Amino acid sequence: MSKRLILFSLWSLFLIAISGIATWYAWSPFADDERPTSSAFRGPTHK
Amino acid sequence: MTVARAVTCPSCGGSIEIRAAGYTVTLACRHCGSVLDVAHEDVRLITAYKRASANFAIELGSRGTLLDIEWEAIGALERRSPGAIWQEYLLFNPYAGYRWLVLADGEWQFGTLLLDRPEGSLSSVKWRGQTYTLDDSSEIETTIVLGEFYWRVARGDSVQCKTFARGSSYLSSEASGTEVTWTQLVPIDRRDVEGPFVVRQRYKPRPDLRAIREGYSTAPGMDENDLPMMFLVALGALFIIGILQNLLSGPSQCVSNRFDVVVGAADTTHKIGTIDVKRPWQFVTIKADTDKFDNRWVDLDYSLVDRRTQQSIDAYGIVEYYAGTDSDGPWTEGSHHGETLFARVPRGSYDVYVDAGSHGWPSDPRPDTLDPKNPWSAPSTVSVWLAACTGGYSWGMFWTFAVLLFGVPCLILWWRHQD
Repeated sequence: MSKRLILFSLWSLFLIAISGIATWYAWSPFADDERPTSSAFRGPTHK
Repeated sequence: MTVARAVTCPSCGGSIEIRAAGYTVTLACRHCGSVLDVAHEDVRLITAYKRASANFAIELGSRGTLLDIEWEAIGALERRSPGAIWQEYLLFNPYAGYRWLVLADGEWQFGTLLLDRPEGSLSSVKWRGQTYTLDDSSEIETTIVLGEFYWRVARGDSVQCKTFARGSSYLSSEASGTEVTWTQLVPIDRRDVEGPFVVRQRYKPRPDLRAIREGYSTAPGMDENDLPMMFLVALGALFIIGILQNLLSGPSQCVSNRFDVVVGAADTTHKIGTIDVKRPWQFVTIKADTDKFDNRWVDLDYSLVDRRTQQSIDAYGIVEYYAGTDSDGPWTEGSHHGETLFARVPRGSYDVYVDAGSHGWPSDPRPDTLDPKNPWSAPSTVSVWLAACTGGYSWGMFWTFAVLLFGVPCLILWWRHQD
């Protein structure tokens, strides 16, 4: 087992741990509860 | 009164008549289809040059040293015979004159125009004491012309060509009318051409599979053959992350409701139901679906109101869909589905409320506008189905972890083979 593979395994374990902690505390940077409320006029944006 | 004038197409050399000289600005060549700017005295080629130059291996104007002389590629021809197609490049040096580079089947030849004509019969010729035997005789046609030449050349020109061979050297004669020209062609290593001249990648020979395998095994870092194992570890870790997210996010409970929203009217408040967050912290996901509509949006201001403290957690969702037609044709944007994720919702019992309002684009329908076919019709509405669930998880987090895991071995793979 190469040194690099050991380091990568540790990195994977770190990410698993972070994932477990984030899920336990229900934390996500992709949540919508910090978005501003509706007030602006909307419409298509592709043109 | 308009005056007719004739110009020469810089792409194919064909003659074109401008019937409204002085008025016409652009003109398509009737021989090759190139678009010309005839407003300028020197008749500029607008569109054909780039298209035509992409067909050639060497970029015109590029310079390189061959046989100790620096040459500039000033002209290029694509020619074909009944059984072959090849490219010829006219090289120029102000002191040495003109030479040719010929590319056929990935092989390069260097051509020199002969000033002393070979002597001989139909089947062989003698030049400077050496005998060349007839190798091929055919009519060849010029199919693409690009750049500048010291004689008049045009697309579609045909000449009778005979090629005489002696080993890997050739003498080529081209007869057009009463004029016969002889050229000596000697092979030249492709590396001698690809080094000094800018040769387009697709004209370089592809490395064979053995070379690719050798390149792979000699790439940096290959003495540590751990890349397949790293991909496996990343896959395993992502699987564990998925299981963990599934286990730690539950239990799940859902409530749902359906209501209509009047387009252009004031926002209305609706209660979706009551949910219980049973873990210390949980995600709450609210999915919104609507019936089909065009050019409207539905604003959804959600509130999770804690029944014990009456404090609320707010989030904003939207469902929007637009459709229309413009110069590019029909287009659509948005969807009839929306999803809103609440993070870090603490344990408790929550009433889920939504303030819903719908509007039209580019403007709300006027309240007094009635359908002439049905004057008793109700105002325009959008039906909304909402489902609020605890126990969801963030797909954004999952894919972020996937990138962080697989990014490492992918980076190593790129680093090894970036050359």
